[in-house]
Amino acid sequence: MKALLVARVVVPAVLTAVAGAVAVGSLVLGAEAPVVGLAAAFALVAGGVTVAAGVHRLAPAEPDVETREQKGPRLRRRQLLLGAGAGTAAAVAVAVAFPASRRVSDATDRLRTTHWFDGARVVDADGELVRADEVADGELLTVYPEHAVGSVDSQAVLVREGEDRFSPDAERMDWTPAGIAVYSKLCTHMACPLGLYQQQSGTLLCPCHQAVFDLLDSGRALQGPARRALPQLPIRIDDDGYLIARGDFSDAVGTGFWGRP
Amino acid sequence: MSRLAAVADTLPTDRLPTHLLKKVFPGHWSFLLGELAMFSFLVLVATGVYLAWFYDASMEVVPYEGSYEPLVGVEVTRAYHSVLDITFDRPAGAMIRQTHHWAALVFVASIVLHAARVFFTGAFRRPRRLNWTIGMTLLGLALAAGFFGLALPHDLLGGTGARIGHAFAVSIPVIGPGAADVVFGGEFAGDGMMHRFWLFHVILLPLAIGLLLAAHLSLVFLQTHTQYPGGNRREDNVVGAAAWPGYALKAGAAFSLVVGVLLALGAVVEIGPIWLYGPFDAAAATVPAQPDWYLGWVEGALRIVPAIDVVVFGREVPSPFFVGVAFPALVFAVLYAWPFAEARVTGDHDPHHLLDRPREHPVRTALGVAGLAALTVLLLAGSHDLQALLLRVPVDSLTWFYRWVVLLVPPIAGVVTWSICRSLVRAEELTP
Ligand code: FES
Repeated sequence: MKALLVARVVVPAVLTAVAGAVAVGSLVLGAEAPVVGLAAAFALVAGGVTVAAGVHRLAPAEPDVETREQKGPRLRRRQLLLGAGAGTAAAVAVAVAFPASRRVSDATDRLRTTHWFDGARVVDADGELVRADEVADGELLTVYPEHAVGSVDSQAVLVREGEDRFSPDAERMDWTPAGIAVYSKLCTHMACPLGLYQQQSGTLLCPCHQAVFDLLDSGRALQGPARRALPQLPIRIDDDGYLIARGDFSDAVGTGFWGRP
Repeated sequence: MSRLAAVADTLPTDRLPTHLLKKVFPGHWSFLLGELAMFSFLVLVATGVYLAWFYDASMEVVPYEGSYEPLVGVEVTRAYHSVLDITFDRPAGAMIRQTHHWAALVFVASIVLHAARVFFTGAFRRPRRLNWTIGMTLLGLALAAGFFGLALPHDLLGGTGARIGHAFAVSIPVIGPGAADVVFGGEFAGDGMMHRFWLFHVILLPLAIGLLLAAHLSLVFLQTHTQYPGGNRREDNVVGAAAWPGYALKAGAAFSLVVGVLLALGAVVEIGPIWLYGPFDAAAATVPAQPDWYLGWVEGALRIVPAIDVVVFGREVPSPFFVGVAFPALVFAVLYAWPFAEARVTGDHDPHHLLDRPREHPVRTALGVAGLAALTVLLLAGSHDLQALLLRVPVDSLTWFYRWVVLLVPPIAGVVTWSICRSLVRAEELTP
């Protein structure tokens, strides 16, 4: 009995004291945080064991017993439930009414548009203007409108391929001047930024859930969870050879949302 | 008078009302799971205060200046900068951050285990149905707090998680874009985003959790604790240790243990190395990106559920809605409704204070196991790209593998559980 007491209570108690002393000592001496933390952690664990073992050792042989009112608590459950229900309903009503009152249409418009407009000059990630003849064949470049470098929803990929490789929709015939096409960089599944270009097939792969888009065919979604084509940016080349947008993307960019036309 | 009472008598406890001190709490290891959740919440609050002290919820971009060499000069947001500062340049910052992160993982895990214990033992039955719904709400709030907490450092992983959350939010019919506007403070990754997240993670959610936790514990106190059948335990009594001294001392010891273990984890086991993930860059995706485990089941569903875009009233409901919003909502709806539905089905509307033995309710037990199996499979599917890399198989084949597994394993697990329950009961009947 004595030996057990020593083993279970006294030893952890001594360990607690030692570890506590080490923790305080190392703190005072300015030791590294993990050392102080480990010592403190050890003291806490040993302290917990000490108390638990002590309680166990000294606990009465018979457990405590309390009688339980069979009628249950004095809480009026029905009222309580009703109150909770009404409270929840009110909270939900507020939660719904609040965003609704913020003119959902505003938010939807913002999702629908980006910073591109007719006449916006195309720049790269460093803000340098992009000249059509400086883009190498098969190159993939991330571009932005000049006044919104780094903008999440305006980011676009520019790709240059031989003009004969493109087979765009009829109304997009003049969207690929000099074999350059620009698409939204946001996957139409859940808006992951795209970046893995496979030149042979002219396809862009989404790293998130492996959707595949055909950049040579109006950004059509070929495989994977994305259903909509990548929105394309209509562009032209100005007299100095720089790339200029001719409007916003052909469709809302990124993930699908309620209210997309 | 026991020796323990003699020790306790040296304290001036007679000033407290005796009915509080004599309140009896049954002792069983499974009743400690809820306590574990409460203790990790306290650790979260304590470490969270330290982190909030130095955190800066600004999206302004500045060059990094600090003692983590590889990132010096890199353009980062002030939010990311401040978390690097906490990690590398504040006293014990790394340890406290890691303790906070570990405590969050343990917090949600212990809530789930506690809820599972309550479920399988039928502790949710009358008169504790209200407390079950409070508990489920606490679980939901804990998940939300975890989501915003992961996003706050504004690193590549957290930012990617926030973008997925945004895609879910805008996909909700009717209120989606407006609700996303409120939660994300404007467009995704706009200037106000971190400030909103900070408000949710540091103020609103902890406050809600704290208040509901108080309500949860008050109900446990007022309604008395359940107990397992056997011995002299009956519906009309509570057998265990009185609040003072036995229960209080044991709880104190458990608290000390929990704090100690979490602190030790925080001190030596690295978690959430945001300096390796790098700052959030809207033009880059993390591959592979995994959320913390408690959000992994949604990530898994996202990876294996085929995309379906549905058109309602001429409007498109995007596929992320079904996986990211409708599916979790369904899971929670089932959980909330369970006690009421079960009472309906079994016709048992009586109050119960003695717990069920899971084997004696094979249908409930089987359904619970099947549900947990489904969620576990989804959780595993949430990192299937890593597994594909490890096993050297194409990701696509693992996607198909998990599609089959998630359909086959839960029913099998349910049937197996059911027959195990039956044979256990039969074996008991044979050996009186
Ligand atoms: S975000 Fe691109 S496939 Fe899911």
